[in-house]
Amino acid sequence: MALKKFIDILKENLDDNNTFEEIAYILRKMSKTSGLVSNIYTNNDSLTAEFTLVDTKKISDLLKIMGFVKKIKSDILIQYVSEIDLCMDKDNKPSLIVNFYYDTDVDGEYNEEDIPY
Amino acid sequence: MAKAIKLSDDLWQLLDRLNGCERIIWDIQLLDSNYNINNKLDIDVLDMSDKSSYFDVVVNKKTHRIKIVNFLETYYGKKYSAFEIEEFISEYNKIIGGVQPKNTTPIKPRPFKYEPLNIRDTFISLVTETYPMGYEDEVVPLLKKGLKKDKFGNYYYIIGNSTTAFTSHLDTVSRKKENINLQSYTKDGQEFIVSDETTILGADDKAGVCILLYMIEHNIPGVYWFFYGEERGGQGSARVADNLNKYPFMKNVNKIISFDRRNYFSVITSQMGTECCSKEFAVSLCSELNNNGLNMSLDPTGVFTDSANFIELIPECTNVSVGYFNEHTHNEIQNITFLEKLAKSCVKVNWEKLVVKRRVGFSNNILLKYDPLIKGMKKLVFNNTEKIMEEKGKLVIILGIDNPDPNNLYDDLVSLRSLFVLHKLDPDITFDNYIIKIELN
Repeated sequence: MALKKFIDILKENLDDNNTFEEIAYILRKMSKTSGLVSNIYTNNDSLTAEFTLVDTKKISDLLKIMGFVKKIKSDILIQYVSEIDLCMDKDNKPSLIVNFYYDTDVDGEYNEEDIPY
Repeated sequence: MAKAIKLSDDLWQLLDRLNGCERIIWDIQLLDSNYNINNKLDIDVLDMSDKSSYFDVVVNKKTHRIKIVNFLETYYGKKYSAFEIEEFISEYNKIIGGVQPKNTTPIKPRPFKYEPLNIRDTFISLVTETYPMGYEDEVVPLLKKGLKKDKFGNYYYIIGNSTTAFTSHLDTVSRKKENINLQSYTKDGQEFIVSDETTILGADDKAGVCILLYMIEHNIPGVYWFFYGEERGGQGSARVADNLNKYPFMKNVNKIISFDRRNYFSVITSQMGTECCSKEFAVSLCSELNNNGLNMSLDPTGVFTDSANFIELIPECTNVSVGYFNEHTHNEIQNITFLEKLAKSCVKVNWEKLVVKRRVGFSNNILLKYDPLIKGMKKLVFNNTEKIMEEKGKLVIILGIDNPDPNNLYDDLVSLRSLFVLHKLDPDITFDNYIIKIELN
């Protein structure tokens, strides 16, 4: 019940574009401080973070990005579902795009644990 | 003076309706009647095609088809990322495949009767509701009696002692169990089935299921798989691949063919960013299918379906178009006329005689260099789909991102990095369509 209440409050807040834009602003700052090359923006009720591996293309660089994404997901956008896309950008640099959008199934319409396998 | 390209009115209207992909749209619009563009292909008119992923072009009064990806590369080189091109083509296909006339007719499904030779009725009976992962067992009463179930939840049926396996999957992408209101319309003499746009249709992959049932009814030798959980990362087929030696009837299988691809023309040669079947095999399969009235060609743009889970184990793994479009959306469409044609063609193919060329396993050169790494990789457990294989003399490691949880990807990357550190390697990575690819020379 407490979770439901929290989700409702979060939903209410995130309906306010300014609040959501503020989150994007904080994330941009966090990303810059972490030394990541990113483009973070909002679109209605979703947030997109694009990261590019600029100088090197090593697993350790990708881990740094994923560490950041993990933190966003676990500490800030808790009730958001994430989708990850990977591509090479026009300059042939690896680019990782993460979309966060509100999980409409969060209130129990679907639960991975219900799957009988 | 060089010729300028004229954009057709239809293409202008289509470009106006496309969502996203602004850079490509803008550039194509700039082509119109522009004499400053280097018209490398001497095109007079650029037009939308009725074939997905293609433009129609008029050159010297003759109309040709050109793959959009080839057109963009010819005129713009590597200006766009693979993601941009994929997005553009996907949006383009939605419009050319998804323009529905308003005179759709509601379909009232008949009471169920198992008649697999009647593709239309079989398809309709299979798509009256959605079957999210976990509900696959509910499809089984609509399938052939006598299917066997493995311990993981996959169903299979064996005819004869064959070297060929066929696959489809029983689950649909939707997360909810819903009824589907079916509608039908006819265009150019072909029948299309759609939902009322409040749900998906589920042609992905009940179209494939129809083909397998039709082939079983014709007693075509093969191992027929009806997998669970393809839409959740190919979970059912991954279990089979991980335990392949426990399925003795798979021992002699040297080709695995999924029927789970959009469009009308694809025999997939690449999945998860790597070669999944040899060119020779794909050509022989296209030839067999095309001899029986189809127009298939080699298509290297595959992403993932169940057959991809066998790339390291079975020489030839492919995926064949079954005539659905806009899968995973409420605008999903199935061309039933095409599906019937495909079924008839599939029973005429000599599956046992297809050319098998691709090798699985590792060469001595690779084993000499990387045997400990390969063994180490096989001991690791990943959350996402991982593959290790030899391709063109290189060791290739692939991590497919089928699990959207960042924690899982992070953990997988930590495992990979630890392995590389242990073997004193620090290779470059590349990205391609939901996969991370690492090549070692």
